[in-house]
Amino acid sequence: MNNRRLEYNPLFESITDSARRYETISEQTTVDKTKYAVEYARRIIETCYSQYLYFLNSVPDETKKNELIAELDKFLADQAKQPMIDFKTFFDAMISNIENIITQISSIQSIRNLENFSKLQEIFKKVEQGKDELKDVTFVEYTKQYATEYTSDDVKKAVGTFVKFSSEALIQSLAKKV
Amino acid sequence: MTNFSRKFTSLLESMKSSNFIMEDDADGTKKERSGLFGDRTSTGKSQSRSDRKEQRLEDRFDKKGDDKFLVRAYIKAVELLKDQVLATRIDIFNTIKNKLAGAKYGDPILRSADTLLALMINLKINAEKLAKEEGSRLEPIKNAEDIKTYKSLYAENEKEYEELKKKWNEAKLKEQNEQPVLAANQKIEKSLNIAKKYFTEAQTEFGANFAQFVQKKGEEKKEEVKKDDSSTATGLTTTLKERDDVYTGTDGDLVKEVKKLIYNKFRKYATLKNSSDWKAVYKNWPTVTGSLRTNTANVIKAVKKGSATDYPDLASDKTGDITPKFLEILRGIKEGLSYNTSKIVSFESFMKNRISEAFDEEAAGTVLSKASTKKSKSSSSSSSGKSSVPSEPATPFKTKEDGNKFREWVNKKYPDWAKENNLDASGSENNTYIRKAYAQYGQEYNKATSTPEVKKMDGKQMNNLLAKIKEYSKKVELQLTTGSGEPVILFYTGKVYGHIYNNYMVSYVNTEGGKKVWWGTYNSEKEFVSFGSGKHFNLKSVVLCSITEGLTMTKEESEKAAKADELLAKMSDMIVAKFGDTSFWKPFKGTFNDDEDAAVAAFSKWYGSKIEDAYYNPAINRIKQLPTSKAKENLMKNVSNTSDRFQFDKLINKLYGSTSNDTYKWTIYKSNGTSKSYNVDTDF
Repeated sequence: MNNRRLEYNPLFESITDSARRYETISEQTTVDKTKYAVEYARRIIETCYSQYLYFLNSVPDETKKNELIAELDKFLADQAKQPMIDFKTFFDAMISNIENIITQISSIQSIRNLENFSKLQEIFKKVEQGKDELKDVTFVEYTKQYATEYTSDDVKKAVGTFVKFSSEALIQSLAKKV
Repeated sequence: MTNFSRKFTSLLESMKSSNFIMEDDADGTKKERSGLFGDRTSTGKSQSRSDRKEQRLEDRFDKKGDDKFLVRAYIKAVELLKDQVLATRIDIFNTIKNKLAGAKYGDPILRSADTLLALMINLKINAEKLAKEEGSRLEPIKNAEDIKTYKSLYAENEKEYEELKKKWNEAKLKEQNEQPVLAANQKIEKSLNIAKKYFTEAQTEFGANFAQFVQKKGEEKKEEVKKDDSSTATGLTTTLKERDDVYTGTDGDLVKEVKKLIYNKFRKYATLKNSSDWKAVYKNWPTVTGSLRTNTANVIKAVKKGSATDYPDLASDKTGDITPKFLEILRGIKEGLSYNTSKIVSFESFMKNRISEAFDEEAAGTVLSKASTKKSKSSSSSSSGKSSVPSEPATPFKTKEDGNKFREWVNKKYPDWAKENNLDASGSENNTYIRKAYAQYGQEYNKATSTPEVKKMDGKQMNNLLAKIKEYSKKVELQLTTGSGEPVILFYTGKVYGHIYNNYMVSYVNTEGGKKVWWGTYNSEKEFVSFGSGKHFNLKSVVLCSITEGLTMTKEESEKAAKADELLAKMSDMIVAKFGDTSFWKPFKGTFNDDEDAAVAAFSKWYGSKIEDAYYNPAINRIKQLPTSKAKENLMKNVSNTSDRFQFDKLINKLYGSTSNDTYKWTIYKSNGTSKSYNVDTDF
């Protein structure tokens, strides 16, 4: 490199430095995917949960409503005992809860006696469609895209945090009733 | 490769198998040699054109069996390698330019390619020089050192090129891999939205057809049983509205509870305590009644208004009703599930659930004043951000510390007055209490503490200022403070208003989404207003109420914006200085004409080590971290959407002399909307 004929000293060091910047590329990809996996897991379960709450609050029969709230309370409390919750387990449970709440509301006699009960059935069809979209498309796409990540500790932890927080909020809400 | 010109494609074709030779290894077996002597493209295809090229290149510089080092063949090989590097460089450049896969990670590789290109050119030039001096064939013994060096340099450069290509391919692949991630996210996103759409439609229809089962928000259903979370939480099943007869039973108890809670939590606020409404409600304290008439309703309205900053839920509630939400907040109990919105409360709002210590007395006073005296000014629109007339001028204190010193002084010297007027020893430097105290004792304090007398505008100056402001905005009024009758200029637009006091203090208030107040000082000479954190805005912008965004940024965010300004300016200054540094460019001048390639390489290295990571990247990172704001919008012009922003590649192209004009100009856009242009003559 120090040849008398080569007055200009090449700059290999600079090239090496540049090359080093690419060493973190694969690492960043993993981080990004996990980030997305956590974010979508949270959004999916939040969508399920908020839908469930809406209809739970719309149960006109106070006794039935209290029964359902107690079920939700127990469900959340049981789940919250675990610091990390499997996304699929929780998602399936929430889908099942949505199905259950629709069935419960539809089975209330005072509602069945309503003149526009058929309208309610139409509305619940839409809920079913939404639920099916979540179950058959959103969930499928999500688990396909994040096949590894959705079972990761990050996602489990995020679901655990969501459940813990929801459980605490529900407990407080119930406590305020007294 | 798709971006290669025909010439480069042809050149690359010519490289195929051209260096593919076999040589005897130490063990006597035939073995393929790599590097300079290997097959770069590894295609192994036999093509007539390539074959012809191969024939022509048979006189390679160290052809087997030849005892001479053929410099011309060496130069040819170097040139071909250089063309390959150049072709890759063009590929990278076009990829970045066309934002194809790899563009995201292309910049540093492009610079590496530039550097390598410069090295190859330099090597070729030196080989040509060697050919001139020593002839086209070097004697292996006599020129052993030279031959070794040149061979080694070629091999190293070729190795660097292979690594560069590998990195470039990895970068392209990396971005290609990322794109499916985003595409897949779009599928999830779309599906999630479809599901939400179904749910929303279902909820809307359910609400429309089965309203009796759905909880209503706030006041929508008058006197209707409310079954939201607040009602279950507070035990309040109805919204208690103002009425002439007294509430009894549970509702009566709740009214009494509200009155007691208000008394206990808000009696410290003089604006409330001194109002006629308050006095009427609490005339028999500690005994309160279950009545919810005009006075009680006005007190409730004032409490809601004053607490709206911390409790946005109350901001929209202009009534004097006792709603479950209001009772919940008043009790200071924590939020639970908000069943009305089917949302889990955010952690932030969860934690924020406490009785406000930042009660906005001025806002509360406005409600009480309007409510009890019924003398709201006709010129003041209740829907606008216009405020009531201030009772006292603003204090001249610019910091809380200065204000606290004065507070302490008053508390020490006039403890009775301080106690009677609720002036704490510490607090805001410009609220109603300290203003009142300053109006009373300000002059004495200034004398006692040898503080220079506060400069004030006289009537004529105020009129001149008013006239000037009126040129900018019609929404301006000259008022007199209600307490001491000092002139003050009010300016307002929509939900924003402010005052310019005769002591040059300026208040700027935004009531949208909760009241926020900023204090500044008017500089009459330069016609701007200086706010905290070194923010300056010209008078026109202030009175047109267009500076909210600039003020909204946190100190940290403002510092980030300012730092980005500073880094970009410093970077530009350094680049200008570098081009003015003749000693830096001297080695690249003259000997073999101007050596642009070597200059580019040297400049690239300097830029990479001194500018990019020290100034440019930190500035860009800061800009990207800023919240959406005018400052960010201004600074982002340094990143995209402006053709005259600083672009390293364009500067390098100029340095290569690839355009007719050698001057490279760029503009640095600053956070405050101003800009500064720079230029360098790249013809060193």
